[in-house]
Amino acid sequence: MAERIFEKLSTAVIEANVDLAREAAKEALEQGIDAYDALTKGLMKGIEVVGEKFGNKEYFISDVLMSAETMSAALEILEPHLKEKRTSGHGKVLLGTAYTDIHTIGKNIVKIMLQSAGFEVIDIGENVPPETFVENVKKHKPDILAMSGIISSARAEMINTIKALDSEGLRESVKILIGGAATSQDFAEKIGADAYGKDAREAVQKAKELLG
Amino acid sequence: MSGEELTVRERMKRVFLRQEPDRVPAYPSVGAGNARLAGVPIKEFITDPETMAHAIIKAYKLYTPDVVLVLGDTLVEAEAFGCKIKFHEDRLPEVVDFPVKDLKKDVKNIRMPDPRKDGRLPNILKAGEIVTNELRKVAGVGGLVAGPISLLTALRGPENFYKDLVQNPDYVQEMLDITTDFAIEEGRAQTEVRLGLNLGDPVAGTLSPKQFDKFAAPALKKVIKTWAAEGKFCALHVCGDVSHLIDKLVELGPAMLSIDAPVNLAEAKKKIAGRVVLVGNVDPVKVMLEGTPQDVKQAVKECIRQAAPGGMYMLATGCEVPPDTPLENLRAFMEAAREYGKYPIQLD
Repeated sequence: MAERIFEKLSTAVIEANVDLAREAAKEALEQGIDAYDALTKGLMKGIEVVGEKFGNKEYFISDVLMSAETMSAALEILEPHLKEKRTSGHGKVLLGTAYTDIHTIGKNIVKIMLQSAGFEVIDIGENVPPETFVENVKKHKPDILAMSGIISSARAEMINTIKALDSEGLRESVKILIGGAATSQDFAEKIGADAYGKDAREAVQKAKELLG
Repeated sequence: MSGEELTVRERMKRVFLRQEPDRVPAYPSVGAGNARLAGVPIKEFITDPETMAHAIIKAYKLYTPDVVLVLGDTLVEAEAFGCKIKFHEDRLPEVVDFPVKDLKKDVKNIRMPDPRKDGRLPNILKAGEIVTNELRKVAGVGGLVAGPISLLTALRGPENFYKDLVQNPDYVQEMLDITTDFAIEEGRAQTEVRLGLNLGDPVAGTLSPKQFDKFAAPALKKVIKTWAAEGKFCALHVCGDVSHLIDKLVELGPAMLSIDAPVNLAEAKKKIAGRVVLVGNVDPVKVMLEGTPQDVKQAVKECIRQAAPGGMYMLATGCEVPPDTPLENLRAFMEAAREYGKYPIQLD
């Protein structure tokens, strides 16, 4: 029974069918299905397929955007129930896409996953210059600074951000998690980040480990 | 620079005549990086044409590439169309507001700017004139024309643009007609000061094949063919992995096709089959910024190995290098080009 609804949610996301997504989300709640499961076993499965299709050049940016919006539409319905399940105090994450990079889709999915897993997420948007990250670390004192980068110029800016934190004596005050197509495990190690997440799921896992 | 070398003009002539010249023509794409090399703040570089011109000339002398670009930031056209830009003292600017928020109300306010008069567009022409007068005997001097598709993201913002392609195609076409005509005119203005034409449309490469065929191809073709009919030839540059688009890009009619690092250079050369001059594709970030001079030389050698034999090739970086790219890497690039790029190519 639940499987059928997860399938429906996933299909709705893959096909960017907003009506189907909303219908499936309502059904999930009516059936008493855990909202977090609907997210991770339904919507996220769909978004992961979308990610694969994007990698294979079957889907392009418009397609990914439409699928992400479909997921958001379903989430609007599931959100109140996700909030209930959230236990407090998993940690605070400051999230943004690195300077010169305006991509947001992946970052926004990471935000959803982190919030649903119980993290408080402060999303400062895209194209964030190093000093803005530093300013916000000072202001919000997050446990984790999570940076997203899709285009390769973001790499230099992640390095610059870590340098900026260092020169303000703030590097030790926060754990740094990076992700996005422009990054990698090797790159994370090279620049002295604390962790790398290859997708939204791994981002949550690594975030939990960093606080562990 | 060695005394036995051909002039850049002679070298390029032979490339276009499908001959192997003395060596592979070569240049890293440097834009605002010239400000750093010349020791001037980026804001001054991109707002004052004399500063820009003299910085480019000073930087040229430091590593003598075959081509220099008269390019500061890529927001000059967007600004002229109505984007609000935020400047930083020593860093590239960014867009903080887009002119078209309400499709019903704002579209009619969009007008094609005059590349010779509006915003900072005339700065490029002024700087271009100074640089070409000084360097054209020793180097190619190129400009950058904003591609019509990419310019659309400057009107509504990138996320809205990708949605518009699906939800508001009529609006997209209406605006595209304007940005296409603008690109044509901008090119004309640049050739008046003898700048070589580079048509750069990064966003075009992110479209689906259907979207590319419907929107990008007709627009780009119109720009390229209009210029060609006026005797103006161009290089077309689309960033990112455009492996699936090579034939379509060649068919648009540019004289040169400049490709980015993710594309397999050897395969691209094969696919192009001598129809246009191939340009590329050392990684501007992972190699030019993050690599050692040794890494740079290796990458240059590999590109030459893959694409130089037979001619119809120019060595370049896949895209513009970041402003902090070290001078020693730019020097290594040109040294390697001169060392490994002599024809006939003899690399193990």
